Amino acid sequence: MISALGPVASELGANRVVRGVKIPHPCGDPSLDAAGDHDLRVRLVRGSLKAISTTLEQAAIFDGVAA
Amino acid sequence: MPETLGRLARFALRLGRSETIGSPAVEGFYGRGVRKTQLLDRPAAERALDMLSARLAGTPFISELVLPPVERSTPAPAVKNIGRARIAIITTGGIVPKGNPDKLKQSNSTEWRTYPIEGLDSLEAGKYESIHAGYDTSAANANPNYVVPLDALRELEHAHAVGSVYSRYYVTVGVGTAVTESRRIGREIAADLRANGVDAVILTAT
Repeated sequence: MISALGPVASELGANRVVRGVKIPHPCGDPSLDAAGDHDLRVRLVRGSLKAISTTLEQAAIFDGVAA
Repeated sequence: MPETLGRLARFALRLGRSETIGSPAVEGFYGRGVRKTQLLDRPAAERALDMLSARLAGTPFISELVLPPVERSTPAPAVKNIGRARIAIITTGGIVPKGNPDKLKQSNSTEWRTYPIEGLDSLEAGKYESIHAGYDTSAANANPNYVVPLDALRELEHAHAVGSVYSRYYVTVGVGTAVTESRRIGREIAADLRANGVDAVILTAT
């Protein structure tokens, strides 16, 4: 799950949580230029794929922009 | 047993006479989660601060509103070969085709929908909108990929970081959604994912 409120999501039972940017735009940043924003989004989704590929014993919060 | 039956009988008489019945804690019956509005002599802010003080001091207090318990689940096994996996996007951020053709509710959701994304490299501004009543939707309306990151996932699909992107995305609106409805929506979506061979999902929340 990508959420700007990582700890809330985790507290409420989500097992793989990736930190999003902000509530109205979890997967991007309008203050960046188009290229920077797109790059951020790709890194965020790549980080999500990493979380999906990671074995977990218990819930974890992943840094949103891990490459 | 005789004592309990006596209490039940006296209680039944009070119900029959339409007498005022107090809370489960006072009267001794099993609560049903029914809420009754009461006027109390101290304002809510003071009562809340007393509870917070007690919590910080580690002393007992009684919450006026009991939240449903969180059900934790065991983390699903990791996807072994993500480069071959079919990934779907789900969002609770309320992104729908412009005009909200299925009239999804803007809060207190009871439904979910899927919309086709086959052949799309991103969600085009102007063709989609956010109908979610719980956040400022201007950024998402200007770029729906902020909530449904299709452009990024498609790029990763082309780079073989995933096997494929499922041909539809899933949407509901996650504000004021009753826990029971959320559970049902989740179970139904999970069944649909399994039926369509989806291996993993990215769920975005707003």
